[in-house]
Amino acid sequence: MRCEKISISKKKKEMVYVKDLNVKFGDKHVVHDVNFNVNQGEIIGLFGISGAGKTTIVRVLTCQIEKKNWTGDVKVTGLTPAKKYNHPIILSRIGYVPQLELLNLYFDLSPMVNVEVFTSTYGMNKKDAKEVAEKLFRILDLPEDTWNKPVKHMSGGEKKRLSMAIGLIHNPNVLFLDEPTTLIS
Amino acid sequence: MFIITHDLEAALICDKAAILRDGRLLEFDTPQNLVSSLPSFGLVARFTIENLNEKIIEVIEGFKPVKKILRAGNEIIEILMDNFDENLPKLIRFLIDNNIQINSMSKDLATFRRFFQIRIQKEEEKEISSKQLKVIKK
Repeated sequence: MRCEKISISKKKKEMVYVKDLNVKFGDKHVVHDVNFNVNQGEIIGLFGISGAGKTTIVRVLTCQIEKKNWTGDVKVTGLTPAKKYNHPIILSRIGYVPQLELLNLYFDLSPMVNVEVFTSTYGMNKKDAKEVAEKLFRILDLPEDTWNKPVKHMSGGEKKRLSMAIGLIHNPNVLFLDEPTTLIS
Repeated sequence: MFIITHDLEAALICDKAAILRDGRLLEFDTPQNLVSSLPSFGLVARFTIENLNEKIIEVIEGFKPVKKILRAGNEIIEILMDNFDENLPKLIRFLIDNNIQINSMSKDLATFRRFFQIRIQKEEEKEISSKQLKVIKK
């Protein structure tokens, strides 16, 4: 009986579903008929030279491209980014670490205050958020004396790792890393 | 987890790799399956050749079973071919007969980086030939 239970719980959930995705910005057709799906626990690498459409596809999945610019059947954790009312729920279930940290960090605030700002939008309570943040900061080797000073004083590698901590802070179902190996120290 | 990357070594930790070009998804499979889709399941013969140059490469291209030659360094080439195990001794004989001096050699499995190179090259060749076709039609 027990074994059966385990096998059921191991059944993989479909996390991302993309069918016939096309993205157009005006006359520019940047993504053509892309299809793929991703199950829970899978690590997917997106490879291609500059301008191949890697970031564009991820921007559709992370609700950053307006529906008028894309067509196709897309589901992220079972919800479509085509509907604006799904955006808050999708965003609370995914983590996104952009290529450039300035897109997801407030440089004049400290790492801890950055954590507060982001976790409050996910509806996490302050105390839990702080606990998780400390854990992640330690795993990612962010020196404790940087935690309460403005982010702008951190080194490039520290900023990148802080950016990753913030992408992971709400224990997302799907994590998107855009060029994670640049600047990592 | 999605990793967008230029770093082809990242494929080592990926369950599946998506290869994109000009907004089209060329491949979506495990890196192992993609490498195995190459001739002879991705086996490569790597040679260090004394004074390697274009002319020598052209000579090697003349050996029929050779499917692809990639330069991996100043004097290093990697060769993909059909029926690898059967043809490797013949290839070595062919090099010797053509006075090509082999300084070292090894048998290896192609890396994901090589697969990526070959796959993108194939697409570029397709584009060039379709452009030429258009010119001819005009």
